[in-house]
Amino acid sequence: MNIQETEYTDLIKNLSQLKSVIPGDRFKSHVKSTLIPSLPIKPNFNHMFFFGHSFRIAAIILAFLLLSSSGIVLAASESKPGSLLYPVKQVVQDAKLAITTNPTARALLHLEKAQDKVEEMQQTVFDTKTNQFEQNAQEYKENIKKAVEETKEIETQRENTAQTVNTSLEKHTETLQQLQTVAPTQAQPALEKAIDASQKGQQQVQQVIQNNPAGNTLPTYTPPTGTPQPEQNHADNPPLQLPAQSQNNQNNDSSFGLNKANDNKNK
Amino acid sequence: MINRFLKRFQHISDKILVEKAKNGDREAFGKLYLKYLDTIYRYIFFRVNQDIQTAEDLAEVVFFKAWQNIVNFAEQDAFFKAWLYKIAHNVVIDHYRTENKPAVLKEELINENDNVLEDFERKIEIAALMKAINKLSDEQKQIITLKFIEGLSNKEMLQILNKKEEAIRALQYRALKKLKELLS
Repeated sequence: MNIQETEYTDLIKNLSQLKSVIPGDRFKSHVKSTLIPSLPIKPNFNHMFFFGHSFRIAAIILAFLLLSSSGIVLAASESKPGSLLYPVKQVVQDAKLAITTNPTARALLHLEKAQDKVEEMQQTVFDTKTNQFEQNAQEYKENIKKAVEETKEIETQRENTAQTVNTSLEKHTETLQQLQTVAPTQAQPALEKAIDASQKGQQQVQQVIQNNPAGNTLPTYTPPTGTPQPEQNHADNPPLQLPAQSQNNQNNDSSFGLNKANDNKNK
Repeated sequence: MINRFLKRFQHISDKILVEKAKNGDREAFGKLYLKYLDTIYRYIFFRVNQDIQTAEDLAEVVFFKAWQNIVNFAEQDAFFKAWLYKIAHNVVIDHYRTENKPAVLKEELINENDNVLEDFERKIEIAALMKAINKLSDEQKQIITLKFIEGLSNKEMLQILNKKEEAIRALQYRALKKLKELLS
């Protein structure tokens, strides 16, 4: 059967006109000016090709179960990027995400991961020999996107989580913008990308807050260090503890850990 | 004849850029990025309910993954474009898996695409066509996009869809039939 010769000729002709659907100029210029320059310096050679997705998730869950009985998980939950237990914290976060279905908990876990990525970016901003900084920026963006998506999925107390995400993103934006002032030229496109992701995320959660009649009335809430509980009341949780702020930068609310970047630069 | 020559030339040009990109040449990959951005964006756009923001986000993910994995791209297995489509297909599948929700038609969609539609004389006809495409199954959307919008050959489609040629022909026929029914 030759489809061209059938009664579908007009339809096929019309379909070919849809080739005019193209991305907007704004996105194209974003690709040229930010996305291409922010690609990691070299393609990633270190993939675990021999592990399937399911196998990796199973391994993560198993590691989580083993570690959780040893108290390491609790200690790791407070760890910072660069510390010995930080990789354990990352495994635990992935394990929690693999077994958690509650959108509130998932949103907060992604927010927590994004927060860690900001800290990692601060630590790697002057590392021009590897692509770690660009990788962190990409992972930051992905986690913010997922945090916002999960927030939209929440059915009860959505405004509380949206408010939490909003507050955190506000601080992320400020921190990243300050980091921009000291970052080398090579790091600027990736930083632009991260800031853009943060600001877009803020706009989206602010819409969630505005669309909710009870919005914007409750205090903010920090991503938990333990497994987030479904239906938990955020107002009962302790105030926001930004990772590096307590150690390095207590006097500056918005630039947590920026001193760390400056320290690295001086080194 | 000219078309065949152009295709061959394009293939060689891709091959050079891919080799450079494999050696870490970001500029070469940037050229491939810009060359295939429109086509990958369009492929995703028609599969994600014609949602501009989602299509942009996923297109970005496709090229990021392509860059990450370009060292593993094997020329003998597929053309670069076909390889990109495969990545795009997986990204769309992942998107729906994580979103965990079925495709939903956005009624207001057509009006949001003024920049696309203003170029056509038969605006209403095209708008109806876009709306009808949105009502197709995911597989039918994929077939319609690859074959009739992008103009891929059946040989190229074999590489992307991993189906036999007869199966692809049958899918094309069913997709067109359904589309016509939706338009009538």
